[in-house]
Amino acid sequence: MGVLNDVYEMLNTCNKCGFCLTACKTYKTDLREPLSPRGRIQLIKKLVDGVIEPDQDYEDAINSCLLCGECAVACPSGVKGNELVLAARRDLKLRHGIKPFAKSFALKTLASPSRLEHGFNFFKGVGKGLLKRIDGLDYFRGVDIRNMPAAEKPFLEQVPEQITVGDPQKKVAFFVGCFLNHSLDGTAHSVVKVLTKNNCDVIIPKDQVCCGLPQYAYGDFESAKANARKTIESFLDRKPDAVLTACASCGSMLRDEYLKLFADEPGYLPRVKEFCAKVFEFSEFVEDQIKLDESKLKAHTPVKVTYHDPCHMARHLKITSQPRQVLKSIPRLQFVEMNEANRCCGASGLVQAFYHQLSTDITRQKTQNIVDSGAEVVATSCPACMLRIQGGLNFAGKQQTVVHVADLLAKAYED
Amino acid sequence: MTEKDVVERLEEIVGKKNVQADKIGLTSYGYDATLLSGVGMATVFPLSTEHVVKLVKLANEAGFTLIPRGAGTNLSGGTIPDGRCVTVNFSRMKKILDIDTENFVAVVEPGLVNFDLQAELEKKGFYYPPDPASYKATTLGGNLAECSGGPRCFKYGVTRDYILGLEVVLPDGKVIQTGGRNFNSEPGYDLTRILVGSEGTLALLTKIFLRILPLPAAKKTMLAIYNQVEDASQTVSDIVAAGIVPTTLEMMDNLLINTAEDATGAGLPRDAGALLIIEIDGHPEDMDEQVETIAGICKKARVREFKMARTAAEVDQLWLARRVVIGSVARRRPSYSLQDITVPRSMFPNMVSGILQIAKERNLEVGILAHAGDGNMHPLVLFDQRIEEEVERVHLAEKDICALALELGGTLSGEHGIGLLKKKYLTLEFSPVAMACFAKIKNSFDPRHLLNPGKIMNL
Repeated sequence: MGVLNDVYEMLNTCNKCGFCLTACKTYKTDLREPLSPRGRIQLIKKLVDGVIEPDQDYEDAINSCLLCGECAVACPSGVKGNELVLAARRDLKLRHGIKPFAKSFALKTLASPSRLEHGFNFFKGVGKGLLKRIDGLDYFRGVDIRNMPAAEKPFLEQVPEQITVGDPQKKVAFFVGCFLNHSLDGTAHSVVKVLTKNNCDVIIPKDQVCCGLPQYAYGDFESAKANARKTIESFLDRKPDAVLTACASCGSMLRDEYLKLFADEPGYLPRVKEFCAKVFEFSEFVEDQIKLDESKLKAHTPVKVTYHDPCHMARHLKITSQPRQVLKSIPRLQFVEMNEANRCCGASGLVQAFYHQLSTDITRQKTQNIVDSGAEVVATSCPACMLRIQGGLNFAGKQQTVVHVADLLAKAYED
Repeated sequence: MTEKDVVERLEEIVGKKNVQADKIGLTSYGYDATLLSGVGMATVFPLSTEHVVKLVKLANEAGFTLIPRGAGTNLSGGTIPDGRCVTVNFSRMKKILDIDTENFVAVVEPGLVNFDLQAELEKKGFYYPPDPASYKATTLGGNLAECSGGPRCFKYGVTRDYILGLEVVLPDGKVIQTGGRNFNSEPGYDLTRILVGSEGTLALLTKIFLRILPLPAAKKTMLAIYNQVEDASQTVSDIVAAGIVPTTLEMMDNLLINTAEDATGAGLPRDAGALLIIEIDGHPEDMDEQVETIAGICKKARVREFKMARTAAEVDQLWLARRVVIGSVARRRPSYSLQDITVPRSMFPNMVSGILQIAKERNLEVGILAHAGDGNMHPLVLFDQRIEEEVERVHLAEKDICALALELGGTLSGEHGIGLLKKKYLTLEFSPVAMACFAKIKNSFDPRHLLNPGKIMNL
């Protein structure tokens, strides 16, 4: 129980004031204490104290956490509920591995590029066909699976390893991420387009793997480390000026969590730091690192756009103004804020698959806020949010479409 | 009836989804915002008055007690279960039934969160004055049971002053309505006011008729910073003596300024001895003159700096800093003992210096937070529950503080209730005859001691 003993002082710092209750989407939706940050923290503490056992109900409390980080913002005493949940998941993994089998299978598949590709090939071919035949399976656990895009072939197979421009200002290595590689390849092309239009050489390492976040989030630090090491070495070898990602979740893993993951390897840590310092999220890079020449942007069709802050953008990477600035620089784009723009959409990796009712209720709140904003298009910075919110909108019979900030910007170079 | 049978019957009444009786659930409903804890048999989430009636009847039949609970943020141990009891969690009974702006009335279910009501009222240009610091999490039923106050209560009064009527389920399962939508008090005995602040020991709330007010036309928020806590407390009694009634007159001492600043980064001066947050409201044309008078009084009491919040964001930051105080002290020490004493306003400076003296004598760290305008004070004695010797000294300090408050003509609880925590001090405040009177009231409502037994007093 070393993992939890290490965080015991933080567990003990929770004085149960309850300020986190309202900040927590799972609690506000379900209203049961074990699904609140205070409830989860107290359960973890009681586990360490030997008052309770890590039974299925305990695992449900720990695994239903969205890791959105809202509780940490709300806590007057600075207790980081999401980090405590992460420690509890690590503790569970060390006790008995990741359960159930479906979850550990999914995580293993994500960690391995070849298995992931096989998975998507199956989904594209047989999977979607099957879904059509089985009534009601179109919406599997709140996800609009049938309409979920699957790339014809992975993005990494569609592009050369290096794309050069005439007068390169910067050399950018693009960390594509699983979602953009296999599902939203159009967005990956948008990213490349924006970079090349802004005089950046783009390197797209073919040997890149999953960033390791899905495994890390469920306490499998060993697999996460293996992938992290591959990523760090592969990207640093190419000596880029910047490592760019268009996925907020990958971004927070690459830039922040790698440092925590390798905290126990002081010998390797300098290399990790060198890598982390180069990592930028798409809109952050566009706003802060390259000067966007707005005169080159054209858009003939007026459109009303709102922005959804992914949890990993708002509370982990803390990037909120840059995506809005990028959107506002696009001509004839009318930007409107929605209510609770920075609250979780309910996706949260595998939470949507294993706690789908809870997740679906949370997504419904997000789609309602989108509809109320009057926007026609929702822009965001995380492919997981994109798929989740689009599914929620389709599910509710709404017309709004979800795109990546990069998609809107790339389009403005075409018009 | 065995525990298993009880759980099955509960599930029949409210459905499986609304009963939690697993080990995790029992643990999770065993605590509140105090250091106390206990274990009951189950937690049940009623969705309607009818559910509550059936639960009460089952409790009578099967012989178990009922512990009403909202968000479980109370500071007196008022929701701690003990043995053969079922926690009645009202958080899923949270509908707003009516907002009647013509007659200034809102009708709500007890599980509605205070903040969620305020948000709806604000859309219509109204608000509900009692706003305890924890208003984002607390339920209105919980506020009513503890008779919560809040920073605005100096001018506007506490929960009691805003409850027009109630629908309650009595301990025999019968439903009555007390009061109603009318402003005038009800004929006969004022049952509404007996139920407000009764900490769930007399009846279970199912519907609340609240008085609401239009949002004030103008508001000014000021920050007065002092080198000495004594100067701040002098300002408080001077403002009151001058006949000015701010909505808010909140005091924080140096220790709490620092923990609140750690939590919010609001820009509070870390080296100040104390600060006052002063807010006034009313007609726009009256504001400047009042600000001037208050500034003059602060100056006379050696204020170090007197500032006005200029933007809404500045006002929000100040309020956030104030609201997080109690939660933020765990940054300093993991446990705290919180008192809720109230003294006559003129005695405020004496009480403050008395607390400082007690802290020194007992060698304890104490932070002083006060709704200074109404003389309601929350000394936070900080410690670590794991150090037994320190806990002993904390108990002695608690007793000293309570005794001093009573000596100065004050009372033990302003707004947090008695619950389990302050029970032992209640006889210091009330004579045996008065205590017997309390017992008679409890027994006439709840002769079988079915509701929240052991809270307020032992019978």
